[in-house]
Amino acid sequence: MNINRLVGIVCLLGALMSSIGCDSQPASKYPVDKPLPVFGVSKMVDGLLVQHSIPSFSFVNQDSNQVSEKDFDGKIYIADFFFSTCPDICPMMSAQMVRVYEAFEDNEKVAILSHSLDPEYDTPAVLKDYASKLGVQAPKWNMVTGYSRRFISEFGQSNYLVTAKEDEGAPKGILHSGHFLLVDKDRKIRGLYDGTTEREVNMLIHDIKRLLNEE
Amino acid sequence: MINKRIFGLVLIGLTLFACEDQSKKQIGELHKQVMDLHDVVMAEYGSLEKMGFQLKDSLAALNEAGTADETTLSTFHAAIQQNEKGIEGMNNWMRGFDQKYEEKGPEKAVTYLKEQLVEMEKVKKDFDEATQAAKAILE
Repeated sequence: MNINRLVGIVCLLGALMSSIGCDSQPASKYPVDKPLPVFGVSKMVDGLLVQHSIPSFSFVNQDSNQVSEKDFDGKIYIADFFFSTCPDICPMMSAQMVRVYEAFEDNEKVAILSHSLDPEYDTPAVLKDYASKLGVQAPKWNMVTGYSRRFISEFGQSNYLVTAKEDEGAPKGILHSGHFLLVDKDRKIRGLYDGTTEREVNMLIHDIKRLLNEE
Repeated sequence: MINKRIFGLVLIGLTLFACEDQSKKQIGELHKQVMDLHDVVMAEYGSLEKMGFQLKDSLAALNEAGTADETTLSTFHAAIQQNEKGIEGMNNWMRGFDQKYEEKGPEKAVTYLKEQLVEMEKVKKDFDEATQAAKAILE
């Protein structure tokens, strides 16, 4: 076998491996042959079946401005729960969320909503400092406080810790688990991703684009 | 003569490099120990917090009904206090933890992490005791 033929075979094998074997990360977390799932138990309201959605809210962000569901009208948003002081998974989550922020910085239809789980300590000034260190700004990325610890715990548990068929893989205690939730413009939860891993956040970024196209 | 001096300098350099490498390894191990404990506590943080809310709700209901005896009420009060101690202990530890401890230099960083390990063990102990006390009432 001459050397040119050998090089040709090696190149061909390399191209095949990169197209089928080596790049094994799925682009989307969910099946691509149907729309992204809707998480949460549907309820009967006035005789109609209503899908779970995030209720109205009013918080205070890092700029001391009120932030409500109206600020997310017509937008997709990614929600998470964090402690500004957490030394372990929160910095990992923040680093990954910055990737999401940068990927959609110029897209007005995508926003981020991070809820502090330590509202007594995480005042708007503390959150402002935290956001500045990450190089991010509201309204693209709202970091919110202005509620009691009990309120945010119960609000998160009952609205973001959803239970449904699609949600069987959701970890217990999601508020402290470093998960990112993808919420559509109707405030329905459409995806759940481990915010501490690059792989899952790649899938989230892909699924945000999917959702934008879907809508 | 010059060769001996060069040999001496290289030896000193190697010794310093080895010491620094040893410190980095020790810092890495201590950091992992502290964070492992932190992760164990954080995994249960939500459950303990929720049990605290349940205890307070139950106590309010008991007070409203006016049927509970003093022993029962003081058991609730003690469990709520322990719960708050557990949650606040973790919050205060996180608020006080200096994430830039490595800027202190290797020696001080090791000392700092050893102190944090002791503190974190105390936080976990309080957390476990609060969990047991709450479960004893609620389960």
